[in-house]
Amino acid sequence: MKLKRYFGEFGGQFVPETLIPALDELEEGYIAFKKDKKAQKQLNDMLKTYVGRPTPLYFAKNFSDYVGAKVYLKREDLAHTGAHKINNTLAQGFLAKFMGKNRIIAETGAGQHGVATATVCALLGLECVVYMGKTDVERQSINVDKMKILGANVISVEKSGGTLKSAINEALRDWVTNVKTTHYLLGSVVGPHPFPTIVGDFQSIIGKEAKRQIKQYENRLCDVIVACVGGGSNAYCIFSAFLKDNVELYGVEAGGRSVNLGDHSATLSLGTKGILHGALSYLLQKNANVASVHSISAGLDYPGVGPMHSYLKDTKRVIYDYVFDNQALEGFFALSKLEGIIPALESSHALGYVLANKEKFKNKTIIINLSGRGDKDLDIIKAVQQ
Amino acid sequence: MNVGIYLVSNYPKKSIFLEAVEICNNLDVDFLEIGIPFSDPIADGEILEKAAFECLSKYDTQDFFESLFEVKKLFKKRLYVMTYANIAYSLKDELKNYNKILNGIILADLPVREAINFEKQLDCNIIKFATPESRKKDLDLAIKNTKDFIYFISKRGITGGSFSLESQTIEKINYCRKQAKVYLGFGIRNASDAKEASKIADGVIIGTQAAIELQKGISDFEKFIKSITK
Repeated sequence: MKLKRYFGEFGGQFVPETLIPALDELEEGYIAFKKDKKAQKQLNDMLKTYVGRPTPLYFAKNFSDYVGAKVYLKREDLAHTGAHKINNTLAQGFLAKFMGKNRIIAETGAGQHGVATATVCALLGLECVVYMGKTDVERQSINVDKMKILGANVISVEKSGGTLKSAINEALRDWVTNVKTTHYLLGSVVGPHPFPTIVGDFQSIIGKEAKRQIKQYENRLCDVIVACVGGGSNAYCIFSAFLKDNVELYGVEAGGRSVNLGDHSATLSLGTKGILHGALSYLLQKNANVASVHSISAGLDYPGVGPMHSYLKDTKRVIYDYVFDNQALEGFFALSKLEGIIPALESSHALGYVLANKEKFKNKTIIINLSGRGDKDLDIIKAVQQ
Repeated sequence: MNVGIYLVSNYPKKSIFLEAVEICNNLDVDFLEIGIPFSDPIADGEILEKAAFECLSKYDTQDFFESLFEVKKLFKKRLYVMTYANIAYSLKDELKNYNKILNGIILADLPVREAINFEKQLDCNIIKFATPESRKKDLDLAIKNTKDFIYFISKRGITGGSFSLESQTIEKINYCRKQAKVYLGFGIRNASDAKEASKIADGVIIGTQAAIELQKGISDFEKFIKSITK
């Protein structure tokens, strides 16, 4: 093992022993992949021509006037498949091929990571199985249809709540059974080491671009960065380029319906330390069992969170807070009506947070990570409006 | 050969569970593993997961642990707890109350390399695993750190399924046995599986099938245990 297994006290490899050699193999494969100039060039070319990078940093003037601050949006919603997830799936797809694995499994909540995985598997000719909670299959049907069109086998998971957590449980069970041939293409900075490090690296392009772009526009860095946090990949990867700079970082979690356990997914704000899906991190739990969670956005309702976020919380480098479903909806509609951009409900939490804290952010220069677009959420929006 | 039976705490209900414990004692089972149900049992197949969820809907985690004192009264030989890392981590302080009655803890999602640190925090004997995937260095680490038996998982996958061993797996078991006791688990369903396993290991652990028999009723369970230990 060459890379750090822990972020402070958080992280680790809390998985069945059977997976340990596979995790070591993944770590070694990743290190070799990063050193391979030809593989890196191929990936970088594809990030440009296939994904559409760099994504723009857009100055949202109308939204800025509305909140009384200078707001830029990092437009991950414009990346191929409509969210930041593709940066990681493309890189991990190439990595899997590099390692000689021809079967890919993945979990998905909102379906964005599932679609991004199915997309890359179609592109690279890999077999693709996506596990998705039954509740999510029902509320994100557009993405299920897309995955099927792309040739993926979507398996609906009914057990233990039928959400993202259940999908990860099943994916881990699959992996422990088919570990020889299969690469688990994990979609966020969660899971056992080396996944948080690998996904964190493959998504770090977001922060690197944003830093370059804001310097071009402002001749300086921004004052504030705001991003939503579920598992935490879009937030960590825009934060990571600014960790050593004098920039305030805000991670916004899903406050759901209320602060009562079971009504929200605000893991860092309201959880305690625990172990789920291979890592020690903050966790929403009751009596040492994982609590059920809720969010209006299917991509945020996860009871755990990436271990580096727990570390950034405890070291006070990042401020973690939450907004409720209705505040996220305010963000959703404000951006749609003011800017003509329909955001994902996940990203709407970051927008809603800025709206709800106008005083705090008055006259500040802010980057909001617009991690995805909202097409997939129209069924949920319709249901809310009715 | 040592026979170990895995019973989910308070399953299907507390009174029947304690009867099953007593049967295991009377029929000379060598050790019990008492499962503490967890909400996300990623190493378990459908049968044991369902059993855990049924229990979680009826009892609190505290109840599962408290039953251990009664188990200890009824069962004279070795007693282990089997659960998941979060239960042990979150209830570190409570667990210390049970150290006196337990021979060790088995955590399905705690590999040897994490167990070494975890053991210090918990101040108890944590059972080390080996698997068909283990490399020589993994086996060496397990052997070096074991204070008890090595739990050898017979196959890639989750609990349940059927019993089979690859030739390379048998070699790995033999390698471990030179320096430690090795018990085989996962997929052992009946007397003939147990007999097969006893040729190459020091003991067997039976879980899923015991739960299936207990679902049928206490007399089926008794017949089943008899068939294994006779």
